[in-house]
Amino acid sequence: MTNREMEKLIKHFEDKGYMVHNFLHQAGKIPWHPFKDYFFPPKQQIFKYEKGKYIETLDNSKQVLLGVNVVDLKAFQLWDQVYARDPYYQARLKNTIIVGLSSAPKDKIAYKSFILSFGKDVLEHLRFDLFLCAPTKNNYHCYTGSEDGQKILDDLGYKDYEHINFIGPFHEGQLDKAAIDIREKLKNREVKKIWDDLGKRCIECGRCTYVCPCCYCFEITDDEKGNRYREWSNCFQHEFSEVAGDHKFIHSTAQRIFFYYYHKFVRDMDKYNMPGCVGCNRCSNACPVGIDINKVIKQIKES
Amino acid sequence: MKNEYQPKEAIIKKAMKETDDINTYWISFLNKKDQEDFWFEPGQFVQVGVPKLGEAPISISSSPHIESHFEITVREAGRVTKALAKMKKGDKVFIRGPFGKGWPKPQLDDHLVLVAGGIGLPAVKPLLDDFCHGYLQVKSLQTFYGTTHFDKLVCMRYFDLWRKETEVHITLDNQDPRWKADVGLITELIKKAKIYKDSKVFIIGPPVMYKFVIAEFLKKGVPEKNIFMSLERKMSCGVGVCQHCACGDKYTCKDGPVFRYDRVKDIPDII
Repeated sequence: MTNREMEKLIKHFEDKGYMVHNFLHQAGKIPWHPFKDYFFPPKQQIFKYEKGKYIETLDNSKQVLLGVNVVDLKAFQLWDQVYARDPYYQARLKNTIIVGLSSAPKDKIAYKSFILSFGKDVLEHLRFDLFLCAPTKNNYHCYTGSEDGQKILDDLGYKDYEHINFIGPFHEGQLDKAAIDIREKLKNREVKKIWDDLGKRCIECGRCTYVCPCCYCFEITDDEKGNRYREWSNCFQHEFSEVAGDHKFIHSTAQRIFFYYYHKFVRDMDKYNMPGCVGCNRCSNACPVGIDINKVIKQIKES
Repeated sequence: MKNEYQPKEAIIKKAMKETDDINTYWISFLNKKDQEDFWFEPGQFVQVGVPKLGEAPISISSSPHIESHFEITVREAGRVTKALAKMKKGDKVFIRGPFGKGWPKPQLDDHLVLVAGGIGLPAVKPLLDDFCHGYLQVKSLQTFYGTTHFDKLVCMRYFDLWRKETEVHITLDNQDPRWKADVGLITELIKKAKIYKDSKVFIIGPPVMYKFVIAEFLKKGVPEKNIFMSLERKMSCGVGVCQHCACGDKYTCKDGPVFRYDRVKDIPDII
């Protein structure tokens, strides 16, 4: 697909009422900002009380995420499970066209981190409507991953695409083993020193949670007008575990950072068979005191 | 798709004062079908919502066999519960739930022991009610209830019935001329009592209570797997997603609030 044809595709989306979020310039990079906002806004109204009655407020607007890298596509698989029974997330999902993007050709897409490594068949394990490989300028190779994706290209009269069958989110072998390893280490041995040391360094700013494509904690809040919201929250907030009467169950920075890791590598693994981490390194880059998840995981592995 | 966040409209049918800061409410759903469909297990909780303020997780304190309404007993502690305290008959609240796993269903050959501290008593009250009205059959039922002062006693209007039908020990931490029964910590009561070694023990109370009470039962020879405790945490979503009530690998709102002691005792800071 040439740049010209891409412009046509974008116009096609816009004509159909989609808001197009264009990330094509980020090919080959993991952007600083994760994509979770598009499904799970930082503050989302979930309903309102009007004259003492419940009124639903689902966001059914249509959007296109044009150019999502493979690492963030992987993170969507966690969200799909966590929010499988969530009408608000599902309403966003139903109205979102996901277009993946890589700067490498299909068979050369590679990514390696402490938790996630992609092999040759990566696209078969990711969920998307369209996927673009852009190894050279002015030339996108097109793949479809859903009926919606096929329909779009057919409507546009674009025929030069290949369909990729989604065969489920989980890779066999290496990936799962790395995650299982970390889980078992965390479950069976609580090495206090790791968390005490981190507790001394961490300043509880929560930046790691905002940039994390897998952090999905929230709290439910009401305003004085009768609107109810679901808002991002994070386990570094002191009131995170606070119940009425000012009693807290999590007291120290060390406990908070332990909670963060335990959630990602134990609770998420137990429940969703995948860790709450795709190894994107955003948290390490965002941390103002230089806590590096690679080093923490190494310490856990060696514990 | 069923929306777990959508509350149902309900009406306060009756509001009763328990203490200076604790009230009991009879609540029934506005929609008849919602009321008919409402089934819960003793030990489960609901989210009680007040528009513009939020929600508070509260244990259900009535028997599931009552069809016309359910009951909650609430201490004024936060924004929502303070607003509830001002409410009266006919006022509207919004209910989500029931959520969580309640007490395990007692069996015919169980020796059941209920231990409640402070505002924990209402969460085991459904079992006492069911026992007294013939819905719950067990080999024996013992109840231990302790609170700080005479003026903090809850469910007092049932004491006579409970004492008549079962073995109930009630103690106050502080003496009071109006109080003729035991004075002292709840652990002292348990120490003195005869407890069957194969008892099933259900515990609920303030966070500080669990360790000491459990230690007493273990000393009496009750196995860890027979001890169940209902834990308090910040339950927000109620469906095991938001993480506020997480503890180790468990979600208090979904895997709990009732946990079997041996299954969670190794989780740091769980009690």
